Parts: sequence; C-alpha cells; structure tokens
Amino acid sequence: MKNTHLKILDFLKSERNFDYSGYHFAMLERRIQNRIIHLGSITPEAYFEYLQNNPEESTRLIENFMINVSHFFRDPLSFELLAKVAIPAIIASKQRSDEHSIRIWSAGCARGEEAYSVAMLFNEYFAREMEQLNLDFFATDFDSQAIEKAKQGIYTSTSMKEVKHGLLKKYFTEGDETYTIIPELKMKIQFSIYDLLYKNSYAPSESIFGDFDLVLCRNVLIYFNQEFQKLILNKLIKSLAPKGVLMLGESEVLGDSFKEKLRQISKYAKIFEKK
Amino acid sequence: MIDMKKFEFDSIRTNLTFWFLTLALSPLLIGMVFTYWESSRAFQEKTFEKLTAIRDLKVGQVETWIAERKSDFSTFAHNTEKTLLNDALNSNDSNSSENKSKKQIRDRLLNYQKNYLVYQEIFIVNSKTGLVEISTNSSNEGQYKKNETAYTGAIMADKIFIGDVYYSALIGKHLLSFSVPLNDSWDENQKTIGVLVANVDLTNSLSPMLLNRIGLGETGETLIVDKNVMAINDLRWYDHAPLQLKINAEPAVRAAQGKTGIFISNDYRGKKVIAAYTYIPETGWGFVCKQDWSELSEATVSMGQFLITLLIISGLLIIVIVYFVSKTISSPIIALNADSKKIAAGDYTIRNAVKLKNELGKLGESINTMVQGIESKAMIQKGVTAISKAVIGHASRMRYSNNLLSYLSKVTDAQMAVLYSLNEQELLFEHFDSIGANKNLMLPFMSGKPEGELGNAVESKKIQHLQELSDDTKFTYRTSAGEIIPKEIITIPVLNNDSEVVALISLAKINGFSHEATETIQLSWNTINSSYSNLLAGEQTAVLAENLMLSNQKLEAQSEELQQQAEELQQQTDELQKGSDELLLQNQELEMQRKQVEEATRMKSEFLSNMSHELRTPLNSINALSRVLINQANSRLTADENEYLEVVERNGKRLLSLINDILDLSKIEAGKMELQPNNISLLRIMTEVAENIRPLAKHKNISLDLSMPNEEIELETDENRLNQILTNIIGNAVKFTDKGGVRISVHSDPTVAYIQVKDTGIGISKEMLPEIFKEFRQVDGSTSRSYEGTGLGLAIVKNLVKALHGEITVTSTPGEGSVFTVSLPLNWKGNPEQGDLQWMHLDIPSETRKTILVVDDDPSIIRQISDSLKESGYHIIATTSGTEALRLAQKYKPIAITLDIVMPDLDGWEVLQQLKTNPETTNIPVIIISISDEKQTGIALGAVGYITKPVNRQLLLREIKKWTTAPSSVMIVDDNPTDREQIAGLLRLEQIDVFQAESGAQCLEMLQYHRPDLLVLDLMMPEMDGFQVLNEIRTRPETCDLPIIVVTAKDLTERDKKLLSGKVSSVLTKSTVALPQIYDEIKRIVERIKGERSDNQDIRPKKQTRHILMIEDNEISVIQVQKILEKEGFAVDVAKDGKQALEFVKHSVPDGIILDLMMPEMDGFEVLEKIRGRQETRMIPILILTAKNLTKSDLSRLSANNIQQLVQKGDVNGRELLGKVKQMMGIETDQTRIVDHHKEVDVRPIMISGKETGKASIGRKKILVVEDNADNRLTTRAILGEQYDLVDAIDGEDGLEKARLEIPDLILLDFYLPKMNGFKVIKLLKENENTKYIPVIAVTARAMKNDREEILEAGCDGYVSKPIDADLLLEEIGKLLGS
Repeated sequence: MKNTHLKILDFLKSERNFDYSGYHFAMLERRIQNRIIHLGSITPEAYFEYLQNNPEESTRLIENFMINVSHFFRDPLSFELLAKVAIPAIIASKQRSDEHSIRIWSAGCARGEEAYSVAMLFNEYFAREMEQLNLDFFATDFDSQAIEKAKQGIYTSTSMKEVKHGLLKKYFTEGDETYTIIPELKMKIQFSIYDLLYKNSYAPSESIFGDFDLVLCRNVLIYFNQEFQKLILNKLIKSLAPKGVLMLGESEVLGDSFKEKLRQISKYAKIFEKK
Repeated sequence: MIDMKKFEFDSIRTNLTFWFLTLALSPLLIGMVFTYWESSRAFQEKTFEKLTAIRDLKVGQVETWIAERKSDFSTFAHNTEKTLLNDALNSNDSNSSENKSKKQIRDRLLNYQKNYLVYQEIFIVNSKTGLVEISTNSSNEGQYKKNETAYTGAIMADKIFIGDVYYSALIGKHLLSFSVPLNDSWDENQKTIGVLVANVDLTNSLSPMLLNRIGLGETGETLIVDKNVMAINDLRWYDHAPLQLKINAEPAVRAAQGKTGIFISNDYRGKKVIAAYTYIPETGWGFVCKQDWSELSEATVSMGQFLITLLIISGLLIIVIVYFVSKTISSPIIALNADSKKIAAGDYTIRNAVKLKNELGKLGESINTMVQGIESKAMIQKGVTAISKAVIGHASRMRYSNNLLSYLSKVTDAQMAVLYSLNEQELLFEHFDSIGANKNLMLPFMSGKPEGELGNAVESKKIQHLQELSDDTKFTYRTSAGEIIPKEIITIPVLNNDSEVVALISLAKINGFSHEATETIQLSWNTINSSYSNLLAGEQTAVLAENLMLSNQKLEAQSEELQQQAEELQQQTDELQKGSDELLLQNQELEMQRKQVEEATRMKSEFLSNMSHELRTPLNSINALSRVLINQANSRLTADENEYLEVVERNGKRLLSLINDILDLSKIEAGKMELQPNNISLLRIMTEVAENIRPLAKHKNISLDLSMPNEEIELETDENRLNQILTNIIGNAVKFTDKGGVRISVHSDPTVAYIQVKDTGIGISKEMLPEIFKEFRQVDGSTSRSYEGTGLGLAIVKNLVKALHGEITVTSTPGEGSVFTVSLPLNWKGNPEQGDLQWMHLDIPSETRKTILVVDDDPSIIRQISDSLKESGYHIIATTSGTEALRLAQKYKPIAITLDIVMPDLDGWEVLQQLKTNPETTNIPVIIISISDEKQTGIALGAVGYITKPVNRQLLLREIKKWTTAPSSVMIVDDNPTDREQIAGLLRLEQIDVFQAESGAQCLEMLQYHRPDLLVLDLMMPEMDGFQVLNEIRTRPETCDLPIIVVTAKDLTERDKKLLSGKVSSVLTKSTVALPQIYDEIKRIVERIKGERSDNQDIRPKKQTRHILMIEDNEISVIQVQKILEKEGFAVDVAKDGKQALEFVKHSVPDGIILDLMMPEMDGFEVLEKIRGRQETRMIPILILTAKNLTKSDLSRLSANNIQQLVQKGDVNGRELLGKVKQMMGIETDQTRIVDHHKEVDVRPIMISGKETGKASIGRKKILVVEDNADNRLTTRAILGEQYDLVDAIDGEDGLEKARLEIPDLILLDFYLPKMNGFKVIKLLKENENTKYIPVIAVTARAMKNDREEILEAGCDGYVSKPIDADLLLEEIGKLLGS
C-alpha cells in the first residue's frame, strides 16, 4: 500500500511538478486515502490507475493535500497583541516616514479568515485614530479552490466563534447560517494563487516587490519538514521590509539560525520583528 | 624613643643614602657648631676683658685727674699764707694792707691759672660777705655767691667739694667747679673765712682724655653720666650731648646707680653693644665704656662663614661618596625586586641578571630557579584554564571540537590534532574534526580494537604519550617540503560518566611535547571528559526537544487535518442532501453550457451589429444612386432597364430594412439597447401608431379599429420602443389580413396595461406558434414570397417587450386570425444598477478643504485614482453613481471632481451640466476622465480639464493642482477703466498682483513679457475684440494653456458660445448677473483657490519628469509599481494591454517602458517586438517585469530585442526595483545612457546575465555569415552588404571560432555545414557565456514539416529557408536587431 502511495506521489511529481518531499509523508498518505474513500473505497492500485487516466484527479488530489482549516481571530491573544502592539507600531513608523501605504501579505491564507481578521483590525484602528492609509494587502494560497472561497468570503458559524459582536455586525452580512464579508472589506484584499515553494520569487507576483510591513504565515510551516520550513521562512524574512513584522502559528518555532534575523516582540505570541 | 619608622623609606637606595648621609654629616655638623660656639664664647670673654680694662684705665685717668685737681686745691689752700687770707678776708674796710693781701692772692691765683690751663676762673668767696673777694677774673669780684652750690657744698662738706658739671652760658663752656673752705688759721675752731672756688673747663681737660678711644676700634667710646644720668662728656654719636642728653640705656643707668659690671645691652642709640660700666664715687658719676656688638662680632661671623663653606664642601663630597656606595649596594636588590614584581604579576619569563659572587648573586640564582618552576606551573595552569574556557558554552559539538582542538594544539604546540567521535551505533570512531590532519586520519576505525597509536588509549582509558614513532604511522604531517613523521603523539581518550571511551583526541608534534604540554593535558582531561559528556547529553536533549517540537507541529497539522476532514464530511452530508455529487457536476456543466450559449449569442449579435453597420453604408449609396438614376435617366433607358433599376432599388430597400432589423435585434440581444423610461400617455401613442398604419389598411381595404378605455392610462416606459412594438404588431396584423379587419383594444389593471391586437388574417398553426418569435421564421417558408418582410419583426418585438419588462402572448386559429396581447407594467421596473456603491462613502472626511470627489463607474479605476491622490495627501470621496455624485458634490463641496462620462444612471455630461447649473457647485473644477477623447464637449460644458484613460497620475495631479491653486497674478483686459479698476481693487485686496490692459493689443503685448496665472477678459472692445484676443492667445505656444475667465455684457449667441467653447474656463455675463455679484464670483474663486495654495507648494515637478510607460494588465501590479516610481518623481503612464501600449507609443514616446510578459491577447514578447520595430521606440530602455518562468528561448527572444533590465515579479524589494528602473534609465549609474530619440545613440543592451552580447559599433551592426557555398555567400552579401558589416565563415568550426572572436550582433547560420553541423554549432554557441545571447537565424534548404520546430528548439531565434527571399531575410534580421 505504501508503495502505491509512493507511486502516486511520484506520479504527481512528474506530472504536476508537485514536490512532496517537504511534506509529512503520513499526512499525504492519509489524504490520499481520504480521496480514495471519497471516490468509493476502491483499492489504492485502482485509484492510481484512475489518477493516471483522469488529469482532473491530479488537481483534486493535490488540492486535497491542502488543509484549509482556520477561523477568524484564531489565537485571540496573538491577534490582540497584533492589534495593540504591532499595528500601532507599523502605523507610527509609516507616519514618521510620511508614507501612505502599508504592505501586508497573508501567506497561506487558506479561505481568507486570517487575512480578513487582520484587515478588520487595521480598519478598526483607522476608524478609531481617524487615519487614512492605503492597505496593499495580498493574500495568497497554493490552493485555487481555497482562494475562490476566500474571494467569496462566505463563512459558516464555526469560523465565527472568536469574532466579537461589534465586528460581526460591522463586517459581515448574515444569511441563513452563513456570514458574508461585506464588499468594502473584500475590496481591501487581493487574493491570488502563490506557491510558497516557488523558486523564482519570494513574494507574490501581484505585489511586484517585497517590502512587507506585516507578513502572516500561520499554521503553514507545520505541514512541512524542517528543510522546507527553513526555505519558506527565508523567503518570508526576505520579503519583509526592515522592521517588518512576521506572525507565525502558535506551534511554529524558529530555528536558532533565524534568531539573528528576527526578534520576538512578545513571549505570548509568535510575532516577530525583522532586525 | 625615636620613632625609627619615620626614617623608613620605600626605596632601599633612599634608605641607604639617608643613613649614610646622617652618619657622615652629623659629627661634622656637631664639631663645627661646637667650634663656632667655643670660639665665639672665648672671643666674648676677651672682649669683656678688654673693655673692662679700658674702662678701668679710663676711670683711673679720670680719678687721677680729679685727684690732681684736688691736690692742686689743697696745695693752693695750704700754700696761701693765712695771714694773707685773713687780711684779705677779715679786714672790714679797704685799706691798703688789705688790698695788698688781696693783690698778692690774686696774683698767686693768676699764676695758677697760668700754669694750669684747665682752670677757667679761680676765685675766693668771702664767708662774711658772701661776695667774691678775689678772682682771676677781676670783673667778677664783688658778686654774691654765697648761695651757689660751690660755696654751700664746700661749707657743708668742709673739705674739697666737687660740684656738678654745668654749662656756663657766659663763656659757652661746660664747667666743673671745685671748691674748698678756707679756715681761719688763727681761730681755734678753724673758723671758715671763705671758700676757694675753681671752675674747670672740661673741654680742655676731661673731654680730650675721654675722647681718646684707643683700643675701642671703630665704634667704641666712653661716656660719663652724672647722678641724673645726663651725659657729661661729648659723645661720638650725639652732638652737644653734655647736659643735653639724658641717657636711658641700661649700662649708664646702672653706672649712675653706682654699679660696676659688663654686659651686652643696647646703648643710647638702641644699638647692640658690649658695655663695661662703673661708678666714680668722688664725683658721683657713672662711667661706661662700650663698643658695638657688630664690630666686636665681625670676627665671629667670618669664622662662621668659613665654617659653613667648609661644611658645604665636605658635605658635597660626602653625598657623592654616599650616592655611589648606596647605589652599588642597592642596584642588585632593586633589580631583584623589580623582577620579583613582574613575576608576581604573572610574567614568568623573567630571569634576573644579577651576576654577583656574593649572597645577592646566590639569591638571584635561587629566584631564577624558583621562577622557572613557577613558569612551568603557570603555563600548565594557563593551558588548563584555556582548555577549560574553550570547552564551555558551546551549543554544537562542531564548535566545541573546533575550539577544543585549536586550543589544545595551541597550548601543546601540536601540529596535528584530530578528534574521533564514537558513532551512534558505538561501532566506529569517526573522524569528527581535525587540524592539519592528512587523509589517512579521516578514515573511521572500529571501536572494538583500534589499531596502532589509538588502540592503547581505548584499551587503557588512559592518556597515551608515544615517543619516537615508527615510520609507518598514519600520523604523517604534510608540509610543502613533503611528509614529516611527527616525533610524539598524545592520545586522549574522552570518557563519559560511565567511563566509556566516547571520543578520542590525538595530538601529534614533530619535535616532541614539552613537560608542560603533557601536564596540561593530564590536568585538563577531566574537564574535557565532563564537558564532552555534557555536550553529548545536551545534544540528545536538543534532539529530543526538536522531536517534541516536530511532534507538536505534526499534532497541530493532524488536528487541522482532522478538522478539515470533519468539515469535508459535513460538506458531503450537505451535498448528499442537495443531491448527488454527479448531479451537481451535471448542473454545473449545464450552467457552463448555458453560459457558453449565451456567450455565443452575444458574440453573434455583436458580430451582426458590426456587420450591419458595415453593410448599411454601401447599401445607402446603392439605394440613393438607384433612385437618382430612376429619376434622371428613366427617359433614356428602356422599360426593361427601368424595371431593373426599380428592382435594384426595391431589393436595396428590403436589404436595408432587413439589416436594420438585424441591427436592432442584435443590439437588443447584446444588451446595447438604450432605454429611456418616461411617463407617457397610452392613448396618445396608440392613436399615433394607428394613424400611421391606417393608410395601409385603407389600401388593403380592411378596417382598423382602436378602442380605448375612458380613463387615461399613463405608462412609465420607453416611448420609442413601445412605438416600435406596436407598429410591428399592428403592421403585421394588417399585413397578414386580406379581408375583415384589425381591432386594437386596451385595458389595464392597477399594475399592468394590456394591449390586444386582433386580426382576421391567415392565422398561425398550433405547431408554428412557438416558432413565430424566432428569427427568420415566418409561418410558412413560402409566405415570405407573398408577404414581404424579413421575418425578424416578431423576434424584435418579443425582445423589446422583454426589455420593457412586459410580456407578449399570441393565440391563433389558422384561417380565422390571431390575437396578440402585449402586457406592460405601468411603473418602470428596470432600476439602474446600484451595485456596490455604498462602500465608497466610508472615507468621507471631516475636513472638506482638501477633498476630491472621484466619480467613475468602475470601482477599480476609483481605487487607482484614489490611491494616487491619497498618496499626495488628498481626502477622497468616491461614487459610481452620477446622481450620488451630484448629492456628494453639493454636500461636501470638494475642491475638485474627477468625472467619468460613461455611467449607468446619469452620464457624465449630464452630471457636469447639472453641477454647472447648480450655483452651489458651479465653481468646483471638474476634470473629466474618459476613454474617448471628447475634450471639446467637456470644455464647452464647463469642465476645466480632460484626461483620457488610462490615467496618467502625474497629469491628473498637475491638472488638479492647476485648478486648486490660487493665482498670484491676474491680468484684466477691459476697455472700460471703471470696470477694470473695480475688479483690480478687489483682487489687490486679496494680495494678488493685477495687470491691466485697456485693449486687446496691449494685452497681447503685455503677455509677451509677463504671463499671469489668470486672465479676465472682456469680449466687447474696440479694434480687437475679445474673440480675436482669445484666438491670438490660444495660438501662441506660451499662452495656449493660460486660464481665462470671460466677463462680458454681451448676450452670447450660439455662434459666440461655439467660438468660446474649449478656450475659456468660465463665462460670466454682466447682463444676467449684477456687477457686484460678478466681483463676488471672482472673489470667491480666488478665495477658494487661495486657501489651497499653502498646501500645494510642491505642485510643479521640480526637475524634468521622466515618463515611464507601464504595460501591464494586472491593475494591482500597476498600482504597486506606480506608487514606488511616482514617489521618486517618475510620471507613469499605464497601458492595460499591448494594443493600448502600441496606440500610446504612436503619439507619445516615453523615456522608458516597463513591460509585463504575460498579458491576454497580445503577449509581452509580441508587444516588445512591435515596439522595437518602430523607429521612435527602437532604443527606448525597457524593463521586463514578469512572473513567468523564462525558458531559454524566451531569454534569447528578449536578448534579441535589446532589453535593459529583467525583473521577476515578487523577487525584488522596492529599493531594488527602483534601482533597476533607474539603471535602465541610465540615472545615477551612467549618465551617458540617456536616450535621445532623434539621434542615433548606440544603447548597448544590458543583458539578462549582466553580460553584453556585442561590442560597440557605430551605426552598422555586424553579422556573421556561416555558409559553405561561395555563391550563397555572395548572394547574402549582395542582400545585406549595404546595411551591415559582414564576416564570413566557411564551415561550422570556422563559424564558431569567428563568433567567439568577433562577437557579432547576429549570426546567419547554414545548417548543412562541413566539419560541424548547424545543430552542434548552435549548441556550442549557446553554451558559451560570451556568445549565448547572440541571436542566430538559421538559413537552410531543409523545409520539411518539423524542421522549423527542430531548429528553433535547438536555440535559433529565427528561421529562413532557401532559396533566400531577400525581403524576408532583411525583415527577419531587422526584427532581431531592432532596426
């Protein structure tokens, strides 16, 4: 069985240039199995054959590898720190240098919850402080389906558990069991597809250049092995502007080599500042 | 007790010196002091003796003198006969005897006086009378002197009496009187009969004696004082002293008191003297003999000086001797001491150099020995410490071993140091780290029984020190002189806590380890053991921690995965509820198909629409001309020919109407039909339509009835379209009815109006009913013959009704007739789309002063404009709706409005008109931003600026700032001085410079020298009127854009307005507005714009702005780049696709281009080639911005087109991007690269790799022709020789060589070549750094199907097949070389 899984992955590598070496193998296996079950519990061999004959299935399978689980303001403490410490600092430095644009990248945005959360925080800050700054907000994910979902901005109640009532009323329109992001918030974010392992650039192409004041990459690294984590982290750090802020997921840890480049601004959250 | 500590000194030398000096100098000093003291005492004694002697001598002299005087007296008294005296004194009367006696005595006295000159006067006082009886001075005889002391003293003493010294004023001398009583020798009682008195002149007697100062030196003198201590004799230091000076000095006082002695005291001058004094009892005088101390001590002083000199000389001598002696003794001790100090401070290399045979020398030697010992120990200690330090605080074993080995070899001077660590399986010792080790040492070895030097260490677990190594050791040391075998090896087994060997460290030294080295190692062993063990433990911990972290992450990932699965399950459940997965897919496919069909329909309609337009134009001419022919030439033509013409015209008309119908239909279907709902009266429109068709009905002899309800029905709909519908239906009814009639009836309910058209025509069969509303479907294919018509009518009707939100139904019985019913809503349902407008109001600012209203139907354009303007500090309000724009303009009074023309509800023209008619908004400058260029219309309607899309931000800003900045100078042109002055005064109040011109000619003249910011122009002026002035101003290049306000009393005609349109900013009419209001108006404009002035100082670009054209379809990308470039002062124009870009460069040549490669329709490569193909843009610097993964052929395609920079999207930061743009533009990096579009400037490409392809050549490019056939070479030369420099190569090898040598701009490569074929050549060319970017055109006779692909695949940039087509070849070359 394992052998077949390996064959499947090799096939994906040759066909779709999908480099599975960075992922946890067990997870990939589980996801293949998941897909097999989804298609009616056929044998892995049969599935492999099916895969070879149906080009569409390769896409499906790769997308199935992507985990797009998140909800708004996941890790409330981290977001609170972002709102109270990092965002005011970023805006203050912008005011000092008389710049009018803040550049943000949500790398691995999945279905957009995190990006929208941050956009809300910025908007709230602007409203409170009577500020007028442009947000150049890029949110990317490898999974085209997830990006589509993010663009639609329609969520179920499970995503909403950490959203404060005021924000809920202000930034969502409620439907039957759905919550839709209001268009003006949607307009603030540019969603696009970007592979964090893409070698030719370190920032999404829509952004043209890096210089991000804030980069969010939460619970993305956990899917990759150490080597790939390093690769991605290096890209993220490169894409940051000097003194830019990087926010990682709670269980993501920086290797020693990165401690020279990043300074953790609070021990309670994985928020770092580029040195 | 003397505190000896006081005399202890820090330095032994000082100490020695001090004591030596003390010893030597003390006796000297004591001796000298004693000598001095003794001799001065002796001297004093001698002086005393001398003075006493002199005193006594002098006193003796005085006493002798007094005694002499006394004896004189007694002699005189005794010698004088008593009788004589008696006679002389006792006779009571003067008789002769008596006189005789007197005379006798007087003579005798005179005789005395003569013999003793000291006597001044000698006389005898008669006791009886008290008168001077006899005197040597006879004139004194007879004077009464009984009361005088001389007399009384003598009587009382009854012997010689010596009186006091006194001063006789009579003779001016000091006198001393001696007196003696004269007794009556006959009287028994010896009765006194008189007193003999002698006055002694001291000046001639005593004084010379006293003044004799022999033996008294320079300062000595004697002095006598009387009882009252008055000086008696003359003094050396005091003139006229006798009886004048009372001496208070101690010796004189003592002498006067009758004391005798000698002592040192002050004399009457207060000077220190030695004085000997005594008392002369005879006279009661005190006698003092004295000499100045200074004179007397002179000898003592000189002796003292001599002694001091002696002391100094001997003292110096002593010091010198002491110095040398103490130095000799102390030097070695000091040296030893200094050395000891250094040693104590840790410098154990010190050895003292005391080479004495005495004890000090021995001490030195001992110290040296001792220090050597200490040094060795210290070295060891230092080594141990260094190693201890080296092994602490390392996180990684590599660092640890690096450090440890380097310190170990440093401490022990080892040339080689190797650390082997036991591998995880504990089977092998693997080389872990080393210094200076050879390859042999890198090999792992078994942990069980290691061979050779290392074995013992593992076995014994003790440090092994091997000496005298054998030649076959693997520890050899490689030097530049060859392999050297070290003499000694120390192997340290590193033990863990369980005393197992976990690592081995070997140190090898070419010439033996020192004792210290081995000792150090021995002492450090434990440290190394424990630190290494700790490190191993630490590593294990770290591994565990990392594993833990990874597990955590995996757990997190798994939990997310689980959540995802849960969500998927949920989703699947949901999907199952809605239907199967497959169904959904089918639905989607269906939806897609539907969309495709819709799209196809739309495309078709669009096509038809375009076609129809194209067809209508020629048809119109055909119809028109055939009519002309019919009218003019029918008499000249035969009937048949006329007939033909009629046919032509008829068919032309039919065709035209068909086309019109098609056009209509396609318009409707394409959604391009414009609807203008209005309230209309149904009765009116029905009547109109019916009346229009009635003639046809009449012609066909059928009835046409219209029945309307009594009450008026008002309908909100598009009148024209309704008219069209009704005309069509009723027309059809009439057309298809031959007998009977058509009946139209109208009725309504509260929401819908129904129009029914009933005919008695041919009717429609049931099968055909659904078909009649389809295009080109008349009921019967044959019917079209008998009934004219396109078959489109009903299709149009159906679509129109639908567009009006109504419905059309039909019922019919063939042969009997049909009923068409149209139902239309009474109220218009088609609301204009509001879409996502609301969000735009979020940004409404509190401060309106710098607010700009942006109006555009495209939110993305709004975003773009807003972003640009926000960057410049403006507040933005925006809307996509025209009506909303009017509301916002009124409410917020923005300083400017940017206005799009195409908008869903109210188009821009209308918005503009309404803005201008509303007095509250009429002064807000409006800048139109539109796709189409209708500047004239815009200006005519009152817009101040007109910008065509795509929006150039700099232009927009310039435009906005132009209209929101106050003028600083205004020129008023008016022939009426009053009007002129009134406006001028007002403006001056606003601190604005005013220039006045009283005629058009003067104005134009003044404008040559000064350009105001605003011109106020009157239209009606003599000679040259305002229009002429305006025209003249507008034709001059320097004033063509000068803002002008027209103020006129003229009633403007249409013609006037036309003349003014597009030329002036606004027109104020004096006739419609009162004059003061006009001033208010100008003032308001001035005030409003003035307020902005201070905020907009940085309006005009400071330096020449460089224009960059950005060709990019992704709007977000555009904004990002724009921001960064515009901040640097570049002006960025944007083209959204290749077409726009090419359009742009046709009329404007930018300074640089940024080009995206991936664009829809025309990709970047094509755009690039087209741009390079144009003469004007051939040399413009271009930066490629791409997200594409460039292939080799992409790169060569780019390189062939002279690309300056290549940037991968997302692979730069802002600064780098800017740097690349600047580099591309030749800013800061290379000033000479600025491109002049008119001159031939050779801009060499900066290649993608940063390498230039070719070398510079002026004008002509160089082409390498690789061709084996001489004829072909000739042909090629004929074609290319005029334009290019040619280099020939006759075979593949030659070609390759020449390519490398010449670096041509292009290579023409034949593929069939001797020695090396074309494929090989191109492969090698592309592999070489210098030639890989040279474009290559393949020239070959191979023209098989796949050849072209194969050749291009090989890396060629172009392909030309033989036989060569000259033009084709030139074109291909031109394409690649960009000429």
